[in-house]
Amino acid sequence: MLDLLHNLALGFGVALSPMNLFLCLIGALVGTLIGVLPGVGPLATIAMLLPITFGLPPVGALIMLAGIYYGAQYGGSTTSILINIPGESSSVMTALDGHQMARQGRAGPALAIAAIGSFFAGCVSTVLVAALGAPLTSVALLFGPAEYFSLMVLGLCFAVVLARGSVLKALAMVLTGLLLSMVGSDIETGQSRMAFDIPELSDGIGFVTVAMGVFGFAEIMRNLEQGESREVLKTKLTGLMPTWPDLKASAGAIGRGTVLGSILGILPGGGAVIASFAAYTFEKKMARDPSRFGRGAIEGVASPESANNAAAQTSFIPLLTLGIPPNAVMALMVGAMTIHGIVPGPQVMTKQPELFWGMVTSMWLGNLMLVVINLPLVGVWVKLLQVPYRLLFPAILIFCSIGVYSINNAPVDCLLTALFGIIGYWLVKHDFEPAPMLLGFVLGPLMEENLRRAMLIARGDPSTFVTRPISGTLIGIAVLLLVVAVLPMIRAKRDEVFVEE
Amino acid sequence: MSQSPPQAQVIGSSESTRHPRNLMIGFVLLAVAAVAGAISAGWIPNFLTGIGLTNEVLLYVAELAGFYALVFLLVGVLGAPSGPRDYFGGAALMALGIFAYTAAHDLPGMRGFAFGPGTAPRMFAAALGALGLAVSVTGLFTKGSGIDRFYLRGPFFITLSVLLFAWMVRPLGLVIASFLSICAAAGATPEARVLETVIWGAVLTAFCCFLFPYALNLPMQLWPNSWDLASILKGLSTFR
Repeated sequence: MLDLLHNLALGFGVALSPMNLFLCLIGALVGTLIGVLPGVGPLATIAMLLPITFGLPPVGALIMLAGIYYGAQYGGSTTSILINIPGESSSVMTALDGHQMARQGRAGPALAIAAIGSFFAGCVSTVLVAALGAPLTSVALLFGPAEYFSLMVLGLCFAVVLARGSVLKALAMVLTGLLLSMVGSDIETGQSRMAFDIPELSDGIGFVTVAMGVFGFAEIMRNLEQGESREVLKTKLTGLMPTWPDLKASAGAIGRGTVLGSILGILPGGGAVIASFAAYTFEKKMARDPSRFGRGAIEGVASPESANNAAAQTSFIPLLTLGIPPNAVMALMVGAMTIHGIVPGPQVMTKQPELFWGMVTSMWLGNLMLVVINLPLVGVWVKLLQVPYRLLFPAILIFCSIGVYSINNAPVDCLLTALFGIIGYWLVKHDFEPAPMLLGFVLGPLMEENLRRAMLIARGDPSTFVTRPISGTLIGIAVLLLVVAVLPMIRAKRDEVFVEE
Repeated sequence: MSQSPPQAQVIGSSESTRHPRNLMIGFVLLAVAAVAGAISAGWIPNFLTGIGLTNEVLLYVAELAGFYALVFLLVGVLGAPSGPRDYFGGAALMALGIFAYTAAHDLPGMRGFAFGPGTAPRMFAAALGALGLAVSVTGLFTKGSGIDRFYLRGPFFITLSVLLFAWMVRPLGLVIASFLSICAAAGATPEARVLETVIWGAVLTAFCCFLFPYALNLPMQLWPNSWDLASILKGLSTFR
């Protein structure tokens, strides 16, 4: 306990230096801005900003980049609620009820609850990162490749079960993502796979390319179909503060979202996206009247927003303790750390305590800043978003184009993104969810690597995944999840068949 | 406002009157597959290499056309699927699985206990094919939604806008590329006005030119290297 206090004091010492405070503020502001601007996600921004951090001290650079990530969680909820375009896949669930609330003229309370929930979750998860970081390092030492693989299988099964619509289709999407991630060089031998001798594909398909295509461009194409009826938001934003019943209704949801988010954030393969999905579904299952969800239930905003912010922060735990990025943004953080000569892993905490604890405490400070920045400034964001869609979408499009181009300065990346836009449009038309595909795409390389290692260690015996106790348990849960999800569907389909006959 | 693309007209409705049409498409595809297959197998000399259709490409053409021939012949014979959206969606995933499997077929496989580069792709491709089959069969027998209407205008102009940007950003610089790209994008909606588009395009271009090269410090060129027409045309002849 004394240790923890001592460490936190060290952390505050680092984070409260004027330079680091300033960088934290910049990160939070940029994060909010790009979260608000639809189509420009934290991933692209962090990728674009990586080169700039060369000149900064490592702690400051990481503080700023982390600020962009959790800042975007705040900003992303704003676009989800106001224009039904999630700034990030982690705020997809927020859009379901948040946008409905906005349509009913309750955008203010929705935004406020999202910010309050995020802040509460941010505080709790900061404490969690501080308290659990060290013990988890030792637990994580029990994990071998088989366990990692099973854990990621579990994570993907979560995504499949939690996706809307058919489980079969979501599973197919995960596999599509896994396959796409295998384009490029093989991890072990470096052999080119499925790249068709196209030089731009030899490094694999970029994550941003896929994400911007299926989420950014495809979304624009779909929105345009519905014409002016899908106007941004016509109702005026009245009364920012939530009412007392709103607060009471969402208090439990915020708590549950925080717990779920923190747990799912820690799991490698989890992260903000799964967390918000899980929290929303859980809240819907828990509710006395689930039919309210999707029609503007405030719990449906509070819970996923708390969860994604909690997960965004606890997902630093696997990165800092194991050196494993649980999601794509953390993968970029690995890049940022390597630029500064820091090898992510267990040794960060012992060898560079000021880096670890400085980051942890800066997260809490950043969250505080975000609430102060966001709630009063929401009016500004709203003004920004009352632009009609015919003016908004060319802006989104050009930001995406420039953003994709700037990552590698490769025009071919833009072509690929356009292609993924058309694919995404097709997927939506056929009721395929793009989110599980994206997750499969991110986890693909890591999964394959661990699968190969585990099989090698087990001398080619696939039963290793079930016979090792931790791995077996994880696989068991995954299978159980799928069975529970598929059974009612089969029964329902059978009923339909019978009805038809 | 928007025209529906050929797909939607062909498979757009699940009315039973469409059987002959599905059969016809099936036979045409079968013929294409037969020709492409015969060439790629070396039975007929390849007269198509001139337009980039090498034997390898033709193998993919043969495979996918053959597969889709089966997809259409099946519904031609059995009657329209009960859930066309799932039937054709699943079929496309199967096609992707087949395509990926072929693309990975000559990669080395297992070496003793160790996975080769090709093991995992083939494994996942096969699994995707199986799942696609499951989705497709579900769509064939259980009642589901019809194919949604595809619109052409939005996707066309959005894609055009991105292509224009990718094509021009290197040789012509950020200013011209973004401005023209924004103007092209405006074509995606019938609500766009000419004057408004031009003004908005100029404002956005100015903003982008401040934000990306200056505020974010990205190495981007605002204007062409030189205004020499020949060198610009040379740059425009490639995407790289």
